[in-house]
Amino acid sequence: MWWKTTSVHRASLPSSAIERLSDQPIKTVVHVSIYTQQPERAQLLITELQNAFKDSDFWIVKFKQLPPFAKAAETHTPAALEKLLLQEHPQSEGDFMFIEWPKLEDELLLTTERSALMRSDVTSNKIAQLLHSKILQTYRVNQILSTDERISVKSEAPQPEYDVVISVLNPKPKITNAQWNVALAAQTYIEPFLAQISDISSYTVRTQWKYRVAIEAEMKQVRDQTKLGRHYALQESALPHLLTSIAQNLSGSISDRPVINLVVYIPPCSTGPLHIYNKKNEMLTRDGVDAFISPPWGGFIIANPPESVCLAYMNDEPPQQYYVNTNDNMQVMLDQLHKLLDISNEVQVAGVKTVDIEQLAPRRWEYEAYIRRSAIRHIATASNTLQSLIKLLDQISYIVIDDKVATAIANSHSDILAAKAALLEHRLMNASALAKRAFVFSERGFFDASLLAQLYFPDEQKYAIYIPLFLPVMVPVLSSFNMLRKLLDRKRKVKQP
Amino acid sequence: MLAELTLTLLLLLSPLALGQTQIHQFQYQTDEQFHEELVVRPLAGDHVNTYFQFTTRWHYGVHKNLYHTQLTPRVIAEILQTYDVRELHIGLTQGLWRYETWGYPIVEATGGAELWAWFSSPNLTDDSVNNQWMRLANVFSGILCASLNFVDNTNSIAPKHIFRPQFMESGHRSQQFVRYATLPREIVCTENLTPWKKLLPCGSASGLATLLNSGYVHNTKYHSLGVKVRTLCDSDDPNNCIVELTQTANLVYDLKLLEQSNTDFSLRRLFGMGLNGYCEMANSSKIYVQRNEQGERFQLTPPPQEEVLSKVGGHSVLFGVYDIQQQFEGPGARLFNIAWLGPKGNSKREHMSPPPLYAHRYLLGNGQKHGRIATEVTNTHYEPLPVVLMELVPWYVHAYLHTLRISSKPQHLYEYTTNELKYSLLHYAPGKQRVLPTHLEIGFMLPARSSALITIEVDYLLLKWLEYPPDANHGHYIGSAVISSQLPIGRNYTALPLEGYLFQDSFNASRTAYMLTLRTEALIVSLPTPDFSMPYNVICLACTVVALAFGPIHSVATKLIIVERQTTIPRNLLRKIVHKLTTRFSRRPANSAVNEQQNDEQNGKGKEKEKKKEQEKKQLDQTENKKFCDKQAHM
Amino acid sequence: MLFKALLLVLAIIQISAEEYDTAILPEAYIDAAERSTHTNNWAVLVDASRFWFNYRHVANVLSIYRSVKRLGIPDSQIILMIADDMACNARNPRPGQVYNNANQHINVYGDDVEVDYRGYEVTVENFVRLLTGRTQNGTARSKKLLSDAGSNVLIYLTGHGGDGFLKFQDSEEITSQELADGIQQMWEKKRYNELFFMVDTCQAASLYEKFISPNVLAVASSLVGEDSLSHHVDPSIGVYMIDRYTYYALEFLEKVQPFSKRTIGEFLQVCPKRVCISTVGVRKDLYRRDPMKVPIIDFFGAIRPTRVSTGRINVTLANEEDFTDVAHIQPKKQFKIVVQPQFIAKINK
Repeated sequence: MWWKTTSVHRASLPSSAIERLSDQPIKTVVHVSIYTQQPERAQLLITELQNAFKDSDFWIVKFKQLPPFAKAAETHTPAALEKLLLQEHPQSEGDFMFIEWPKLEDELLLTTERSALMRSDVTSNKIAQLLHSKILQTYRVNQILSTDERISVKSEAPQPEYDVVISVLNPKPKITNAQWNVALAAQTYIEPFLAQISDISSYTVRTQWKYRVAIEAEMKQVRDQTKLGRHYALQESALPHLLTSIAQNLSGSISDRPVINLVVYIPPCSTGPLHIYNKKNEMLTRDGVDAFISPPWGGFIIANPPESVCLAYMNDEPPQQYYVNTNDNMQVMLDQLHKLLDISNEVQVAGVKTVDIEQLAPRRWEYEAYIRRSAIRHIATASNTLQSLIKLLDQISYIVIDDKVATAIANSHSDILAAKAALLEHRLMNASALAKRAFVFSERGFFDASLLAQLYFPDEQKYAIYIPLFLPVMVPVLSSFNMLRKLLDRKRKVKQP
Repeated sequence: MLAELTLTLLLLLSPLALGQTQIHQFQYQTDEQFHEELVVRPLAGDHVNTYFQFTTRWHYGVHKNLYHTQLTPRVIAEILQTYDVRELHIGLTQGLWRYETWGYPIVEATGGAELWAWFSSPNLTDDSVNNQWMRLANVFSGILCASLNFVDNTNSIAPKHIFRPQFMESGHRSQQFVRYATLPREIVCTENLTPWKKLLPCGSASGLATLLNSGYVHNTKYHSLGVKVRTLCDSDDPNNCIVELTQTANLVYDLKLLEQSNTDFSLRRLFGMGLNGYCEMANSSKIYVQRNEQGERFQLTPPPQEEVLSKVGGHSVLFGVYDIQQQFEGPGARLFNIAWLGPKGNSKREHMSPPPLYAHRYLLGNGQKHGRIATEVTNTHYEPLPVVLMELVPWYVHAYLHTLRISSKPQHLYEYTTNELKYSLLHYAPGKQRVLPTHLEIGFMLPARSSALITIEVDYLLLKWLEYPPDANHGHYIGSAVISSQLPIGRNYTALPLEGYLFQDSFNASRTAYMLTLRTEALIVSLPTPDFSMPYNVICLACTVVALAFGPIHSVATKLIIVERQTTIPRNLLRKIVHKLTTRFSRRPANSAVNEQQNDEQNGKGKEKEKKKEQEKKQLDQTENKKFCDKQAHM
Repeated sequence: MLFKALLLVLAIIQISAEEYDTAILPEAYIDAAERSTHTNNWAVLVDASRFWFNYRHVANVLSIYRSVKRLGIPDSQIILMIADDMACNARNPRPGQVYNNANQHINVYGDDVEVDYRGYEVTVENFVRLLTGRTQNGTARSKKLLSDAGSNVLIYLTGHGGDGFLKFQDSEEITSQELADGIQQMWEKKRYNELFFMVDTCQAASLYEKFISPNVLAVASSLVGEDSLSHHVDPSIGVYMIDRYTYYALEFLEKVQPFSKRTIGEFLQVCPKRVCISTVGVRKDLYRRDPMKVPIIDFFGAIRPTRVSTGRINVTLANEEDFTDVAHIQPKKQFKIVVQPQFIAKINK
């Protein structure tokens, strides 16, 4: 009875089903279509590619040949051809298309949509390589699903919500009288951009100004040919330290959402203009951009004041009011966001060129690869979380499992299965939504505040408290059992004769 | 009625109407202002009051502009976005303000942590306010590094009469909710000052905040950090709002503690360093020094740039003003210091007349079971004063309303008379063990030149083992009472008018009445406290006793006592009785009962036919058993 | 070791796609791998003792706090738990200051300190909740350990302990099993990359005995059966200032600079028996790297991998003048401030 009163409520869980989750690999169906002027060539490429992807652990690539058609010969631009092809054979999310375009300079040219142009002499190897490295990003998926902790990446699964905080640091407002309508800049560039990629995570953009921020980094003066006659050098190796000193000063937020920090630093003229130098003492500034990133923390842009402002400072004139250049800084910031959110793919493949982005949205294939990767990552993370949670709950028997946790676990489990099925059935967006939900549920289940082992009565302590009572009590009971045994023995003896 | 009218005095505010000299136009938006002010007031008895006030005022307009902050800290904007809070007061205080000798402080605070907030929004319910209130306290526990997360429904109340909203809403008025809590045990130290300073636009890097060094701030008799946030919205336009963040630090130095041989002091003496500049973001940085009353004794070097005579309610105060931005005009780094030079020799100290109204609180009764909370309010004014008193009694102390007494005495008498004052206002929400605190508010007129003693009887509760804090013998706190009143005169009155937000707004701000709030001392009660090292000993001891008792009972209940027949008749009386009992007892065979049960269990599963057979067999067994027992007993 | 990891990745890429050697790995990965395997640092510093006579435990924990902060871990990533207030204690003749020795060389409290859990908040429950991440709903962000798979976590505990437990606030205990469980749960959820566990208490080594989680390096001020001793008394405050082990650890850490090449292996040799009197216990079997090759700033500092990125996305959505044009911004309408009467008028009647 006393053991019962100290036992805890544990809702039943689909333990064995969750343990079996990892037996079933995550496989994704991708449709790739190929258009060539000669159907035989496409046929050949497809056979070779099918061979190449036969043993893939993660992918089921379905190749499809697009038959040549009469109008194709009339088109003069690849875009027009692509448009025609899409009219005939519409694509769905995550699909890809290779279009032969003989006049191409490079072997392959990736567009900003779901297609690539290829030269007539491209080998199937090259296409396979492109698919692996750029479109499917096999090595990244491998990192996600690998159980070897040295390979598996340290980055986290995308969270459902983020705060994007743009901080403008002006440490010496007395010297550098910088003005900037950063709110308008964020509304013009960052918010529309983030709105286009909010399938997986939703983003809240905030801006803030920070003054009198102490920057702890060594800056060396370097002579140069400008009117100022000098600039300052910031060593690349000092950037991590610079970052920590800045992180101290960016005030925290009140929500639990992770924060992506985008910092625009306005160096005072006493240490500006400021440029980043590497170990070999080479200036790393490229077309006027001095910036660095540190995923997933955020990015950092050095916005040097214009020459005239610092010239005025050097001549002891009163500080000049000036405006920070919005377009310049926002373009850099957009690029940083691409990298920080892990959307852009920087793998270089010889002979393959990528069309530059000239619109606000990311490249379609890049973004869809990101969604695919995130779905796989969410499924993998949720499965791991559930499995470790089940393991812990089995190990520590005195944890209460209330119904809320049980439902979260059950929901997450069913969503994982549904997401896997959706990936197999070529429903990418659906899979992504399901995977995200599974991830959210699994996190909620794992971090539920009610799962606190410590509050319950560990068995050792039960013994410690009850032994003083039950040990003495057991002595007479045991002795009476002994007596009973003797009694029965005697009875048997009496019966036998 | 007149007071109401004047308090609703309309004040036109425009950023430049206040006559600040705006030297620097660093802000892109002119609708955000930051002001830093320091008030130094010499007090009676070699004490000096220094009061810092940092005001950030942001005319943000539309709610969505809160996403983009400049001088106002981002956390404040986020709080306004996340919660329906319209007004918020937080005070972290160490020490006790002595009203009788120091007069009234510029901002009121009670020892420990105190916070209250007003919530307002359409469709707000009591439950959602409770939830938001707890979350808000949690947020500030993170921001200010204080244990404000201990604020929950068991120690919060919704004051009914004593607090009035200081914020403004637009359009039709939705329901307003207020929550109030104190944590008298809360300590205040560097870890609170550090994040408090980080809320300032210049942090502790420049400006008046550089004077607040932890070693000097905490070496004071009284120090209080305050954060006040309120929103003011245009009554016609909900998209035209102002958020006002006022951060205050109120310190009272005891010059004797500064190891001073004479009464001279200076900024450097008080804060460990001179002033190295002003905050670049500030629209104004000013130091006000009180020149009359206790300040009259001192000579100032350098002399103030200008002097302001402020007449409030027939009472005038002279302030010397230093504009720090002017002091630091021109290039070159330097330190600015103000020295107060007292008269040489031992001068006669001016006697300080006590302020119109003050209060004290103490505990009556002895023992750890019952007690009486007594609050004494004294009116030294020649007119009767209206008084509202609010008590927040924690759940571990039971207060009985029927024992509430308000007795009064004229000021010159020593004993309280038996005649009781009538209260004209009473709000009482009884407490509930472990759930709700007792909340009491009473209002009455306090006759001229007299004191009132408000007493209420209480019971102390015996807590559960785990409810005691680790240092249970320190005692448990009952927070201070809050008393509010309306003064007809402005003597010792320094609080800011609500329409204004700068210290200089209190200059010449004459009204027909002045709203005053006071806080009394907090109380410590020692609840009956067990010896915590005992439980395990008690368990062991109790278990042993149970075991010892169980042994014989068990034996008696199960064993057969075999009587030796040799000595048939026991010698003495006791043995005779025992003998009689045992013989009677042994006739009732205990073993048979056990066997019966066992048999029953075995047979339960058997079929009907078998059952009958078994029963016959059992009967046989029983008889056999009986025989057996008898045999044994008679052996 | 790190290069090995890199090679492995390369090998796998080669398996999955032929001719892959021309592909270049993302910069960030190489960067992170060359430096270390972690991307951020967290520190959980706990003083579990209350009461003035335990001044030394507060000095202990503040010594470590001072060091990690000086070496670069931001306050937002330090969880400091202090069970009692020593700096502003009425018995402290130097308010707002805590020293690590009687000569008052180092004010370990400093002018910039943020205590996350203090006083009664320092409980076993809160500590376990912190480690496992299962904090109560509504807990402030600064009171959470938001570490991830790339975090190196330093856990420092000090207080009064015994064989297999550490006392909290003199009223409850955390057992070594609970600690091991907590850390195992962190590992299961990938909430640390490597964990350095430091404990300064009597029989300290008993606290790490039950650990089973990988990548944990543990050091304790004394072995099971030994007492940890305090360093010296300051007669002006009448209590012991600091414990021996932490005193020497701080002495070592004070010499470490953010760019220092000192290793954790050197740190493990701090406080030999002749000065410590107790034997410093070390547990390395769960840790896969050689401590002599691990820089101390991997745990006591904070280095985030950074990479220079100078790309830009060439989109221009508005003219530069549109952003600087002030003319279209209308000044906000001023309005009258009307505040309700603050005193209830009913009593006046």
